[in-house]
Amino acid sequence: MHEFGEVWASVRGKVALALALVLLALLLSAVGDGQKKPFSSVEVRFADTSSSGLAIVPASCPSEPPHWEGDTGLPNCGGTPQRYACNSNNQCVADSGGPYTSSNCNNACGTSTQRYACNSNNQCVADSGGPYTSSNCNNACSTSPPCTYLPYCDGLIPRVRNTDCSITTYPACGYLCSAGSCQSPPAAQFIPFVGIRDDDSTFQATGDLQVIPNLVQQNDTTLVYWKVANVSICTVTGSNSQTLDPGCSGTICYSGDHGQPTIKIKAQTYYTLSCTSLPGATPPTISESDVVNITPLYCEPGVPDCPL
Amino acid sequence: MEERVMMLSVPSSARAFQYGQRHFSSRNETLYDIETAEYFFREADKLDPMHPQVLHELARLAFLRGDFGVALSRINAQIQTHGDALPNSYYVRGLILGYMGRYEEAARDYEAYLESDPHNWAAVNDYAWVLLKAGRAEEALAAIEPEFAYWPDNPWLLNSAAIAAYELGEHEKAQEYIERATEHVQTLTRREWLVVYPGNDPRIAGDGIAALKKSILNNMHTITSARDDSAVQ
Repeated sequence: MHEFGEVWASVRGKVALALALVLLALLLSAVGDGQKKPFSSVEVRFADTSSSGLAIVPASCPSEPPHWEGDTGLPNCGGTPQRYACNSNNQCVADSGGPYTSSNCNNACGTSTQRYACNSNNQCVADSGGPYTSSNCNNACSTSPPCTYLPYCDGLIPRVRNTDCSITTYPACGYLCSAGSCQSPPAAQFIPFVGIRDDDSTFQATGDLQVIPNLVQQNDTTLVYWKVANVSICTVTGSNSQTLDPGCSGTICYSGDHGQPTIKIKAQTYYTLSCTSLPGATPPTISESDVVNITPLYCEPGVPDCPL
Repeated sequence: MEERVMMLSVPSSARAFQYGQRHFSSRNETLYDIETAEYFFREADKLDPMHPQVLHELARLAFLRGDFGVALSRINAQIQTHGDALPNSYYVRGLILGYMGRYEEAARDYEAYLESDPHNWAAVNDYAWVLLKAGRAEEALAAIEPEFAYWPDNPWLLNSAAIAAYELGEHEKAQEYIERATEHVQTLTRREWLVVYPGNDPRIAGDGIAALKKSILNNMHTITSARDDSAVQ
């Protein structure tokens, strides 16, 4: 008896705690018992009205977080949809590789007793378990190449991805590569502009090399005008050994609106514009000239200052 | 009862959250109880305010009760605290903002969610909903139509596509879509509906299915009448 008393004294605290927990649990259970009314959320009967009065019905499946460990529940409306196929008994069954997304296989099962499949020689043959009802297997048996033919550019280098997935490389383009082909550069072209004479009057310059005025008194200077596009480089030289700045920037060479001044013209002088076209362009070079002449002198021979 | 005893004897945020989810799934016929779910989610939040999903779940609860302001503040807190860890939070915020009539903001959240789950038909459908409400019917139709490659028989998507086409004046297309929606909503099962509305009481599924069918049938009537009227004229 004395021993029982000692044991009881040592465990009574734990027993009391356990009894309290059980009582609490029973109390909570009693409070929670009884059939509650179903909870009707804002979503259940919700349909929003469109501007034309039609009823739009939102869903909400992705609101649920990804499924917790051990949950084998249904997908939350995403991922890859379930697919279906007709089986050998003409029944529509779930099949991850099946051709149908509808659980009735679009009513295609059972419409034909004969079924077809592609064999290892890529021929459509009768096969009781085949996926096709059409004797041509919906044209699915032909060997489709592993890659599609694709010309493309790698910078200036044209390449082609062949149907066997090999790559063919072609020589680099000089000017531009587009869709796997070299593109010819544009031909050199003269660009009209408004030229300004020495007296600030204007004229319509053609872009071709022009010397204006092209008739001067001996020892006078004149102006040379040009504007040419789509060129690599140009030179402008005179038959008097003068070299003018061609004014090249990018693919354009331009005298400027005011032209380039010549040195003193002593005698008839030819000025020549020579340009190299862009790589691969036709013609590869262009050249044109204009001439400046000396005004004839009209004086009486023997008179002072008349050189005649 | 056992769950509460367990929580008293071995308190744990993870355990509380697990219990909360047990009571907050439309697919759990016997245990669904939104109040018990909320109790455990609050416990989980108390025990671990940095729990990665509990604010998300508390936001869903407030939303389902129609407390949109509370729901929005909770989902904002979820996103601020955990960033992009749970893309579904953007979806929930889109849903809340849509119900609040803040359609442009909702559209941005749906777009954010769709980046992580581009073929989720429900997200596409709800994105189309807020686009339609924002007067962007053309974009709504453009969002839905590619998804028919994956979900050709989905009555929600077909219904929304019909509305978008109708609003764009494409009455023949609207008619085709609404006829297909009408056909496929007839075979919608209770189980399928419960997947689509996962936070809802499974006992209410019948009401939800009836409401969806009624909406689609009313739309069918309106679209067909409009087409017939235009044919007469």
